[in-house]
Amino acid sequence: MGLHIGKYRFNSKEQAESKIEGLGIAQDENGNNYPTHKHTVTKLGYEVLEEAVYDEEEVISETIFGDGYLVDVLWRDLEADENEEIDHPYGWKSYEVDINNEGIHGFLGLKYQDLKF
Amino acid sequence: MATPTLTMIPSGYKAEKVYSVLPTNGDGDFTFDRNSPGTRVNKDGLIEQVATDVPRLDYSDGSCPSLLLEPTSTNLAGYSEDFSQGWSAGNSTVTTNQTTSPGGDLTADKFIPTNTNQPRVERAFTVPATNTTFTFSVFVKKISTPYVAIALFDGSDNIDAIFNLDTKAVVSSSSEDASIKEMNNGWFRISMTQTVLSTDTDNIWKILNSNGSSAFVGVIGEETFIWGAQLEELPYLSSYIPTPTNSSASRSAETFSNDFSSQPTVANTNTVVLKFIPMGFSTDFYELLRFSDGTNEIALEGFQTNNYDVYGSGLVGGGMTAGSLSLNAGSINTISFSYSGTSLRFSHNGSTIAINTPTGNLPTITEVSHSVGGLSPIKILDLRVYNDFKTQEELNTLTTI
Repeated sequence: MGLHIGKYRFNSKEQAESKIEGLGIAQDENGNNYPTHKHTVTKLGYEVLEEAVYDEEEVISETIFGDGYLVDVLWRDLEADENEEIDHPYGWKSYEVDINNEGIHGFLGLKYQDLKF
Repeated sequence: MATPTLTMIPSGYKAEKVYSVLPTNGDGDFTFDRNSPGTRVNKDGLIEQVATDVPRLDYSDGSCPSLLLEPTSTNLAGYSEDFSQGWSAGNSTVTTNQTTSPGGDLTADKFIPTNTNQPRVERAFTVPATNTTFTFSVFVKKISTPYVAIALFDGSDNIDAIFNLDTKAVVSSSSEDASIKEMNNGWFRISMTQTVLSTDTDNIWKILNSNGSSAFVGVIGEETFIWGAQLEELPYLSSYIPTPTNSSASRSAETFSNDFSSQPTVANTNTVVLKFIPMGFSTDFYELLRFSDGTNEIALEGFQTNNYDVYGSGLVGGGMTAGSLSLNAGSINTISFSYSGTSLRFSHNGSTIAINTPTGNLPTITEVSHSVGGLSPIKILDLRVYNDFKTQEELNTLTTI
């Protein structure tokens, strides 16, 4: 069992969903889509540039979102390339965000800094 | 009575494996995986973390463990065990680390009302881009008042649920769902489910001291211990996901499956007896368990609120029970279905649910899985598969809890 954690910033939600579908998706007889891969994909949504500000229950200023759509992935058992190195799946690496802390989201009991590429 | 071809009573396990009692040669053992750790209630009643790929035998429903199988979920509420950070106390104070938590360490906080007007601990979350159903939960323990409430403020309305920790009941609720579950050592896990619309302006979740009549009127000085808040984008409550920092955290999905094709001899003839706990579902027809011969399958699935059925190969569109099996999330149930080539019988908790005729050959069950397609959560207490066709009387005896 090999685990890696990747953090990604895509240009749009549609692009992120296209990349996620590219990992493998099927449809059951009832029309429900489901992943055919074993990775754990968490959509974090559009990046928040500024959090909303409240005074009691009054909204003083709304959340300001950026253009980037954030996705965290807990990769499982990625195949090594011809150089015996494990890297992001094809088409993902250029959207990787490499940060020096754990970020705004994590996977229970696992450290991004220990498992990042 | 005949010996089952497969018996799985959650007891023996190791990383990536759940052992079956029968067959004894290991053919019926299940392969299991979960990418991340998860939490369970151990036999001492304490919440503990279980490592990646280790099956979770959960004791939250009694002295006999159940095998917990859940889809992925994310706890959006950071600092789930520290209400002095990331949370706001309104008309109240929070004192950290005042008593032993459901996890057994000194991390539970004391929540003290200082004003009768909506004494609360609250946190604002991002309003979803599309209508989204959330479930908010928190562990609470009585100090002086039995009343505690959960509420959602969506920008125009407060939706709430009031709980009584003495009677262990939901006093009132204006939400889509609310529940209370007793834990160990005086702790309860309370939850509320509600849809937040994309047009709402707020998504603020609150834990409130209540006078028992209104969620928004408290009693000064009536204290409660609180710990382990969780907000997840699910219409049901899932196992606790700790968030030790201000970040959200995800638990990975679990899958398990086996193949005991060396065992059955009689074609298209089976009896399944399943003691289990449904835990809610997010999407119609998402499967709890699949029974297959490797090609054709039938599956226990959820369909519309609280309604469960077995659908699949060789059955009419209405499935085995045609809408006659309504189960509450969190309740222990035993179901059994038995079929030969031309007859089918179904029993639930000792009562006959359906007797009907298959439209084609039902599979000769050689595989059981929770791994394919969209999945719904389940706790399995006992699973048996027989390679025979039983009478309705036998089924009703087998499903008597």
